Amino acid sequence: MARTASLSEHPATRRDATGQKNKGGLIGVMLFIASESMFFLGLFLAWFYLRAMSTGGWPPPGVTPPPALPAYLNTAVALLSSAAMVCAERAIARDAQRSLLIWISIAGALGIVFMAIQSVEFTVLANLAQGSAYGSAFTFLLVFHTLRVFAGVVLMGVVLIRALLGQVSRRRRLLVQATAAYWYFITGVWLVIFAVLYLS
Amino acid sequence: MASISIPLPLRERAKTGLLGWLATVDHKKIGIMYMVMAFSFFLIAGLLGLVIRLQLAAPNMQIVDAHTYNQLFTMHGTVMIFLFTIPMLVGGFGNYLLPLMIGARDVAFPRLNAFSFWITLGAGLVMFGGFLLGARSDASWTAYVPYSNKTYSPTIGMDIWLLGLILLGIGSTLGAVNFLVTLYTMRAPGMTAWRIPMFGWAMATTAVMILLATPVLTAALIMLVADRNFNTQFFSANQAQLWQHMFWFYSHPAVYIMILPAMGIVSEIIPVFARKPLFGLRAVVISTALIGLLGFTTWVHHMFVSGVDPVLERFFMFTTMVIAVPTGVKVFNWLATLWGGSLNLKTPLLMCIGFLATFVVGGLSGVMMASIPIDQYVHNSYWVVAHFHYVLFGGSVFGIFAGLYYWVPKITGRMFDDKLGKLHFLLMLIGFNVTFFPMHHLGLLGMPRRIATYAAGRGWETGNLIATIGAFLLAFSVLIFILNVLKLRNGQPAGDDPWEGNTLEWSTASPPPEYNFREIPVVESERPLFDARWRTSHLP
Amino acid sequence: MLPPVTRDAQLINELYNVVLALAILTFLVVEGLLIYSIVRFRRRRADEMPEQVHGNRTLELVWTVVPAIVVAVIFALSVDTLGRMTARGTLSNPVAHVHAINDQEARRRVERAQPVDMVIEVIGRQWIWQYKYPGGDGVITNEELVVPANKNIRLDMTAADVIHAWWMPELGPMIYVNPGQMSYVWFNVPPGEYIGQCNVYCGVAHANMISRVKALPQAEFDEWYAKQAAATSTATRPGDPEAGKQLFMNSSCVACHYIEGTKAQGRVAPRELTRFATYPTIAQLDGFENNAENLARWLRDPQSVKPGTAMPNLNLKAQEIADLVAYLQTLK
Ligand code: HEA
Ligand code: HEA
Ligand code: HEC
Ligand code: CUA
Ligand SMILES: [Cu+2]
Repeated sequence: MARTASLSEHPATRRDATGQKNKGGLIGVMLFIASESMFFLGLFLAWFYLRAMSTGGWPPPGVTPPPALPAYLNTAVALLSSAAMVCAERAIARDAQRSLLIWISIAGALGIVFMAIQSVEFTVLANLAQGSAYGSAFTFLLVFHTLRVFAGVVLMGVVLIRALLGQVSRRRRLLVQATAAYWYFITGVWLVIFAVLYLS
Repeated sequence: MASISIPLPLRERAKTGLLGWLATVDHKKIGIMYMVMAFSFFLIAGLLGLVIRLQLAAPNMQIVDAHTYNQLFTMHGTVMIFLFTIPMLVGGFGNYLLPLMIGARDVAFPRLNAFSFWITLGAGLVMFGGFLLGARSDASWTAYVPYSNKTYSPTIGMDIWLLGLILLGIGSTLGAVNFLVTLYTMRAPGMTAWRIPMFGWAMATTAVMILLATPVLTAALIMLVADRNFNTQFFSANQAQLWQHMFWFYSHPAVYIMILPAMGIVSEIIPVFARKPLFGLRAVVISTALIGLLGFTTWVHHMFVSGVDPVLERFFMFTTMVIAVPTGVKVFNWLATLWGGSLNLKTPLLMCIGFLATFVVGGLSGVMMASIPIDQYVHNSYWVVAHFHYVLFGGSVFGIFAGLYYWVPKITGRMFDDKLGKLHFLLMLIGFNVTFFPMHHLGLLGMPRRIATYAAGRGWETGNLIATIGAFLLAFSVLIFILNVLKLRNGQPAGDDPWEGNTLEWSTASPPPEYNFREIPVVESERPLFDARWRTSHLP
Repeated sequence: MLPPVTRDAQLINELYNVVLALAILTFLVVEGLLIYSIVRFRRRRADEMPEQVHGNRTLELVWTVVPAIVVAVIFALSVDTLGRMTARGTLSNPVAHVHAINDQEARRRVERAQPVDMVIEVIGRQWIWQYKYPGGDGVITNEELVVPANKNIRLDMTAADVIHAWWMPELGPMIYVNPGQMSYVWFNVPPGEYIGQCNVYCGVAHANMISRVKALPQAEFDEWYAKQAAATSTATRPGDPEAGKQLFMNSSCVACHYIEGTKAQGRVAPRELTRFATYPTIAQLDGFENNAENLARWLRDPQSVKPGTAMPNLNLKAQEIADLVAYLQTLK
């Protein structure tokens, strides 16, 4: 039976023969991110709905929105961190392990800074959440975003350890790519949150 | 059939016995566990349904008190949808068949797959354990706020219910990722897009819907948990519709999550038993995708009387009605596949015919409700109960039984008793219609759903009595099925391909060996096995 | 469907009949093809091999386009019916929409939508409908709404707790009644008695949340109303236990209370009333002795006696209270 499909190209073959994860890994991550964005879409839906339904202003009278300064700072932090992540990805594509270590540490450290700054907001939000629909929706967006930041930082920690153990290379960088994709996604969500909650 | 030889992976040999099941990452074992779990939940929820019917058999019955009744239908609806239909179709059939049908040795992420199952089972145990221990929700499966708020549903039962659903959501989202990646990357060589079996397409669409709809429900569930326990204010004051929007944003797609795989099953079985290719394969694939897409744009039809803006209402009336077109395309394509075929009227095909005959009734009553003025009459009445049992039982459950009769021989290597199967089919078809058809009439006579009892004199007695009798006939038919399952161990050996199937699962042994295929088959057409059979019988 | 008695219900009914006919037609086509195929194309020989037809463009186009046309017709008819229904409003003037309770703009649109003769305020609560009449006499009725026949009536509805729904099948469209929001219905009915019930699940006694509309000719209505207005202030005769029992069994009391051997099988109130007269206190309230005077106070306004109690104010008339007290004191 004449066939043209090259065996080594077939994922079932690759996976089975080498015991290595196929390119499905990255697709899986993308799909997971799609589902994560729907989660945030749900929260935004609630925000816009409550805002449209509120009678008497948004935020309602008597409710002071949380300070905006940390959000501005964090926007810068998030962007810088993503930039570091881009560098990390490029580094490993060149098989530059040391460079990867440095960049991923920088990105992770900025992630931690982000959470530290965010904790300032939370001191205010703790009360706001219980007082009004405005506060509840505001808090939820920030809390669930920050949880993702935390997850991202943990992932970077894993990358760091793997890299130190020498388990990351140009040919085995799925974890780095996945972490990076997730991190860009988190940054993207932050930009939307920033625009919606603080700028409008 | 052509095939290529690829060494089996160097995984340690499969464990046997109980541990073999608990620790398994084999998609077939996981699929079987899903099926067994889901079917058990079906029996339990069916029993609850029988109690419901007993209580409503006559006016002023006192089988259960109102409070218990409300817990019963809440659990009946929740279990039927979340712990039976979805896990059965997606977890059970999807897991077992998808890799086999596309010529793969497993799913893309076997461990994740096992995790999905255990979290689903865990969620079921949390919900059902809570139910048995008295932590019961009585807020109905739609759990509208403010009734489901702390004020009106103060008990822990509501929180348990919410927790269960959140867990289920996680399980099914991960499962969906897994299926999509599997379908995308693990197809056998030669299996181009148009050679993917219809069931594969149905599962792909379903998985996309799960992936995009479930997180919105999860968000709503978490918001409600927070409202109940941390005093947030999402669903308080004049925001009654926010929950409804978020709930139906998920739950309308969910009804297609429950019907598309069943349609996939039907699309596999009819061609085999008619000995003809699926009529208009491309149209069926495209209409499946369209149903999936449109499914996201219709949720407000559940809220036509809850006070949504009229402009929005009319828009959603339109989108809802449009769905009838792609669905009709599928129905007529199935009919055209039967037309001119050589129909082998064995139980699997009979179940498909039952599917077609009854699903259409439910679909048409759906289109009628999509008309806002009509919905302003029938909303929340027994008409709606009739509609959704026609699509869910007449559609999904008939589809599930069709699938079981068709594939259990592959799964166990034994044939069902076909006579008993036919008896099961006949009683189920009759019992089903006797139970649910009168409900249309009850709805038109003004009987609301979710009432624990009713007074005499409103013309509802006869219809209810008939429905109750039908329900017991239905339960009896299920007993026959159980008998048939028990007789399976003495059944005829199935052989590799008892039905003259079309798809790759029939090329391997029954039950399939670990890793499914020793040699990975090469696919050269839409019906690889049909063509192989034809070649051996017609070529010298 | 139940026989329509208002114009709106009539419109719904007509639309329903047309759509039903189309649905039955579709049903017959599908089932006909199905049954014909089963009979005609049964497998007769094991090695039968039918012609391998993969599809047919023209046919497929037909069964895409024809249903599309049918659906378009149903859509057009529905929109048309909506437009003709009383005060459904135009697209730019959505009066049938549920509005926030203090939305003045919406209120004005509702006022303008339709000339009315009488506006009655309706409150849905677990598990009873209460109707507050205009006119400042403080007339309130429960469960049964009495209206003048052949007059334009508008109900301004809201809910006190959870969502309920107003559904009088013979009288026209159903609508949710939400807490914190206003819903409106309009109707004009001939004399007669109509029954419906709450149609959103609202808790234990959802099944008992009946609504009745009784339309009386204007003269009879006026007479009834005058009596109500008078009865609201004073009782006209001493309490009658038999009348009290009647009232108890035929009103929402039974939704919540349990009295052995009677229709009252509700389990909402914590204590049975079977031997109520033997209880030392009412509602287990320290110092609130179980006597006629206190009981009357309790029935008139439970909330003022025991704030936060689950028993609602049922707006009973003085006479009704007297009768109920007389009845409850016989429960030994
Ligand atoms: C498997 C599940 C399933 C499926 C497939 C469907 C399919 C459809 N449903 Fe149903 N529905 C439910 C499950 C399902 N539904 C449930 C569970 C509820 C109640 C939830 C609750 O409140 O608890 C519900 C409630 C529900 C409502 C809300 C009722 C109310 O509460 O007032 C509406 C209103 O529009 C509706 C409409 C439809 C429509 C238009 C379709 C369409 O997809 C049907 C399309 C199919 C056909 C039309 C038949 C085949 C087509 C032809 C033969 C072509 C020719 C046809 C024409 C020309 C019309 N459904
Ligand atoms: C797939 C979904 C599904 C299925 C299959 C069914 C099946 C049945 N349902 Fe349904 N039902 C729902 C989904 C489903 N239901 C939903 C979503 C609701 C809405 C809930 C809500 O309002 O919140 C609902 C509500 C609902 C109501 C309305 C309650 C109310 O509004 O007050 C009624 C009333 O008759 C009813 C009856 C039945 C009956 C008689 C069956 C029968 O088909 C059952 C047949 C019987 C069996 C399957 C039993 C078999 C078991 C045995 C024979 C015993 C063997 C036992 C052991 C071995 C342990 N159901
Ligand atoms: C919505 C539910 C509800 C309805 C309707 C209702 N009740 Fe009650 N009733 C209660 C509850 C709950 C209590 C207990 C109050 C408490 O202890 O806080 C109560 C207490 C009482 C008591 C005191 C009983 C005791 O145990 O001391 C009497 C008497 C009573 N109700 C009479 C009536 C009558 C008469 C009606 C009808 C006209 C009626 N109730 C309608 C819920 C209801
Ligand atoms: Cu009020 Cu149901
Ligand atoms: Cu729907």
